[in-house]
Amino acid sequence: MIEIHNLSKTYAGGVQALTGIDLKIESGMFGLVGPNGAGKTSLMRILAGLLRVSSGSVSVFGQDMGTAAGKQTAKALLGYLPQELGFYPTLSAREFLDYMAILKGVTDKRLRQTQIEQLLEEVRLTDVADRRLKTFSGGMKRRVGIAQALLGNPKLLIVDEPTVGLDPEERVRFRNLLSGMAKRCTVILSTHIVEDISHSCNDLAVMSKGRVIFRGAPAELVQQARGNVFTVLLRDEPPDGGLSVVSTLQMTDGVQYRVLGKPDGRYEAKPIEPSLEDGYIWLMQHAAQPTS
Amino acid sequence: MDRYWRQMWGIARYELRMQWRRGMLRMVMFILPLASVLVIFLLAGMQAQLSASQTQWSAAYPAEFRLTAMAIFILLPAAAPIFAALPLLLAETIPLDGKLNMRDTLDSTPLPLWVYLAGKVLGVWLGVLIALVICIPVVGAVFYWKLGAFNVWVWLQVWGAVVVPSGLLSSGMGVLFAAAQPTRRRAILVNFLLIPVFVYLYSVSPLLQVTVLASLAPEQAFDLDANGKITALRLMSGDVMALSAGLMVAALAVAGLLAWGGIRWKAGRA
Ligand SMILES: Nc1ncnc2c1ncn2[C@@H]1O[C@H](COP(=O)(O)OP(=O)(O)OP(=O)(O)O)[C@@H](O)[C@H]1O
Ligand SMILES: [Mg+2]
Repeated sequence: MIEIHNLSKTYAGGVQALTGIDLKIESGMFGLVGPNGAGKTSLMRILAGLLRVSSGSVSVFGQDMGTAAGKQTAKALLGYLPQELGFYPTLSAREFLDYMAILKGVTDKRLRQTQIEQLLEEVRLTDVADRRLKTFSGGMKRRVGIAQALLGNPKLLIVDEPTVGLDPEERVRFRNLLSGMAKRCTVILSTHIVEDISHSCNDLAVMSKGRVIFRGAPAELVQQARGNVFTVLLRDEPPDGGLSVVSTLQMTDGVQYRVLGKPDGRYEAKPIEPSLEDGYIWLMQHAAQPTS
Repeated sequence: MDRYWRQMWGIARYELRMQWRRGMLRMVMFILPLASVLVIFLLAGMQAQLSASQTQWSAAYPAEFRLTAMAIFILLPAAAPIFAALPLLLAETIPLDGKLNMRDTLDSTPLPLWVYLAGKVLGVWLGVLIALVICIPVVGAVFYWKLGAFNVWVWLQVWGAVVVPSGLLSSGMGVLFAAAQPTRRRAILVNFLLIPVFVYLYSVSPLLQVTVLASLAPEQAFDLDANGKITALRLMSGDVMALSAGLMVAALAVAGLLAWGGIRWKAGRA
């Protein structure tokens, strides 16, 4: 279990990236969403023991991340996929995973090999495992990064935008892989793709400008937009009057807009079921007002 | 402790492999013999003139004796520029991990910083040792050809006691001294500062002083048997070796502390 108490982070340059974060994260899959610069990466790097806090406290499985000993113990239980991936271009995928496994303390050679083969299989890279990483495509590199994070059976898996650059098929496969992991350990996942979360997380937080502005189950986020989602069919002009368009669909007799807000009498609006994305956008637009 | 040792060895093994594939190790392997052979050619010409003018000096000693003193005398200036070049060639070793975005990934593992640094140095040392082992027969053959039959055993002792440790010292310090630099260019620039440090270190190193003395006053340098054949390099006594080794370890420890503190300081500043 992870406990974050009144956490703030100000970078050396003076940017306040996190302000007064209070979170308790239980086992299972936890989603972290928010716009660019919200502070997701900063929070995850603090949880991984890579970044010092400015004030407040963080404990990971009872280890105080403010102390060197606590960090060291927690890191032995951690799998981390950074947002900006690093690689050794001259190593093959198999060699890179072997290197990372040794660093993670999987010192038994047999065990290491079994784990690596299994993970290569899971991210479907077995066929290219002996090719140098510099010859890999962006998505293939990300899959190596995912495999690297899963080495050593971590108790806490922190993955920062893991689905960026994955094709739809791989994205689904990866979601399933994470769901499987979440049965055994705590998974913290950040993403811009709300869909990633709706499929797998039982708990999520929405961050904005360094604060947590929503915390709850995906269904509760959907709930935020209930009664405020409509479709309107228009022939030429897009809708105005305080409505925001979430998506458009070309029809034979015009354009169907999916809008958030309260359409006035001019439009022939049909109320519809909100999606998680509607809830998220609704929340972001009304973030200034206090929620829950 | 066992885990630290395995982590260290793992880093060293892969560092060696990556140095080789990046071409760095091949470069060191190529430059080392080439530079020493070049210097040998330069000095051997001078030495021939020198000994011709010192016929009295030369005549007083058996040929093997003279040639061995000469081979030692030439070896040291031949090796010196290489040891100045090693820190520049190897400066990027640790900054490269930052450039490749590996820092966060590495730091997310339970790998203590000192184990990481030691592993990197060990890997580089393996590479330098391999390069030197290739270097020795090449340089030896050129010596034999240019000078004649010197005492190979004594000459190898000088390699083992002076040249190889100096190579390890300058490569190890080169890696550690530049460890906290953010870019490759800065790392190389910073390691230029090491050159005067080496000049100083080598000038105070008792082993080096003794070896230079050996070539200037050869009658004090060697143990001879009844027939006047060299049996050993006398001046490399246990005391001198211990003092030199102590100096080397101290220099490496200072560089290691600088690396450790520099990286820590950078991480804490973010
Ligand atoms: N190393 C750093 N030094 C200074 N400021 C930083 C640093 N890293 C991030 N920031 C700032 O902190 C804030 C939060 O950044 P962070 O990377 O945590 O956001 P994020 O939610 O992960 O964004 P994204 O979705 O774009 O990845 C931003 O304003 C950013 O400019
Ligand atoms: Mg981010």
